[in-house]
Amino acid sequence: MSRQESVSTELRHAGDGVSGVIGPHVLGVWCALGLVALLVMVGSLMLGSSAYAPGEVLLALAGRGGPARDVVVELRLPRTLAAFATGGLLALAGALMQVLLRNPLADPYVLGLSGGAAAGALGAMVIGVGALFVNAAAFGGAMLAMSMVFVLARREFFYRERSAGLDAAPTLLLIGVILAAGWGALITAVLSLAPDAQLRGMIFWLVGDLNGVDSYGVPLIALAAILVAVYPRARALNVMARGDVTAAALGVSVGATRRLIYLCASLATAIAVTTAGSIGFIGLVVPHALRLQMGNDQRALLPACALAGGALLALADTLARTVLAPSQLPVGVLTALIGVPSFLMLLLNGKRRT
Amino acid sequence: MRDLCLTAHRGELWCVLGPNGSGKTTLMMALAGLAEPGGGIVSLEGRALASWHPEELARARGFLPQSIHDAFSATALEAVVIGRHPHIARWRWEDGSDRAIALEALEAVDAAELASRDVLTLSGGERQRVAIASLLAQDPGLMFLDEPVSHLDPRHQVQVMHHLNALTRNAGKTVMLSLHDVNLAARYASHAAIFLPDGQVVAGPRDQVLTEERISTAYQQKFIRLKLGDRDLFVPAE
Repeated sequence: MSRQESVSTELRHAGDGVSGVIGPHVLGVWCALGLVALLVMVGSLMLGSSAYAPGEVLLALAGRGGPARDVVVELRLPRTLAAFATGGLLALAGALMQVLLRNPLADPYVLGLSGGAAAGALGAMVIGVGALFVNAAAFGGAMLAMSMVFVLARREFFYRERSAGLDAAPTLLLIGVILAAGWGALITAVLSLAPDAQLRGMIFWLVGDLNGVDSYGVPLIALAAILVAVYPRARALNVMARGDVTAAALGVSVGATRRLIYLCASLATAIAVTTAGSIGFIGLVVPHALRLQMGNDQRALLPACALAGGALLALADTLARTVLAPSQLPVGVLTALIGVPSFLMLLLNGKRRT
Repeated sequence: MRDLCLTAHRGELWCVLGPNGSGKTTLMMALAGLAEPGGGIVSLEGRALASWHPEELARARGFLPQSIHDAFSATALEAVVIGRHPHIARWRWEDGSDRAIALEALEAVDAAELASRDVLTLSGGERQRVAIASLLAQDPGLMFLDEPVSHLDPRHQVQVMHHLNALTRNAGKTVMLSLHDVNLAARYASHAAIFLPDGQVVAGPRDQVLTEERISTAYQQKFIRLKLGDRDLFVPAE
């Protein structure tokens, strides 16, 4: 048997028995990531100024255990769930933006959404309104930034109007990056005009911080809803990663898919940023790390991103509030401190996928 | 381009010729339903293209763009399996039979040994053959290929043209491709369309379209015809 024949025989049988809806290897990865996320969250409930054993945490979650119940259920659980949901949203948004822009360097913030949110939030802080209004201003800023990109790059979102077979991604990316630069200038202006007493809060917001966050409902529901909305399009995204014309020729509605993905990625980013400020790194690194490990099949990748992003942010937040206790670090510092070395390790030592 | 009336039937291999920028890509994209024509009607199997559902159309016609830019890693086999997209029901994943079809397509373009290579590491000609394999895996009855042999070495040029020719003769496919090699066109085409400088497109059976004078007019370059056995060779004159 020639080398060529043996290669093809091997490959032909590689996928046998994997027919059906979901490959078992993918389910295995999802379960493993889910388990890791669960362990991290239990750990997060155990650790803090007063530490509890796993048994005490379970008792507290069941509604018993006195003071432990108050700490675990009232304080730590909301923050842990918010961390998981925010991390999941960011990783999901990052994965979607990377495919939308066909650029592995894209992250949730590349089109200026976090810039709009930050300009809104910091502006509200300078005026001196309450936390609720700061959040509303952040969300409003993100929506404004999203609409500006959509209006300015509207041609790129409607494939039919394109006569030549050019890819939309470069123009869209350029418009987003330019707008992000504009938002950056606004943020610097607000920072330089703000009174010194407010600067610390503003820096924490910009780096990303989960201290005092207790609203986990909206981000959790958004994470589930966005995953459900994009998942049926996951295979179409695989096709679009090979280029617009190829995708259109294979029956993908390129414009409609691009609009849906942009909307979902933008909403995920806006809700994450409104919850916890602009936490960096997760949206760039989690999709990348998973892609290096499991390939670029969005059907496997998108749920994995939600789980791994959630687990990573829950872990980072646990460390942020325990390593230097009683003082807390902004979680954005920890995501980078964990993310940079582990990602470099994956990139440099990881077996190149064949 | 103006006043073009062209009908392609099963079993025909069309070659589209013309100078750079004359509109070969635009013509083929319009015929494939991937770009709005400036006017006129394109229909497939008697139905206007606009009335086809995109996925239904993707099972009937395929289009190979001139160049593929990969942003992400994927094995060549994965890139070819992408061509099976319109054949797989929404909630199903590709299975062993899709992979077998993809491997056959790779073998047909002499690229079986590239199956497990990362597309980002392939040379231009290798990537082009993998892209052709993806179109073969899509297996539509009507195939458009925009300069499919431009980056290939002579052996693979002949191999690809030979395979496309066999598909039209033996499997009843219709193939339309653009290329710059007049002699490859003269050897393999059953029909030809050629862009003239005034915007007119002459289309029809090969021997009626590919004449010495018309080729010379189209490229604004004097060609002379040589006889080699029973074949015509067109050679640019000084």
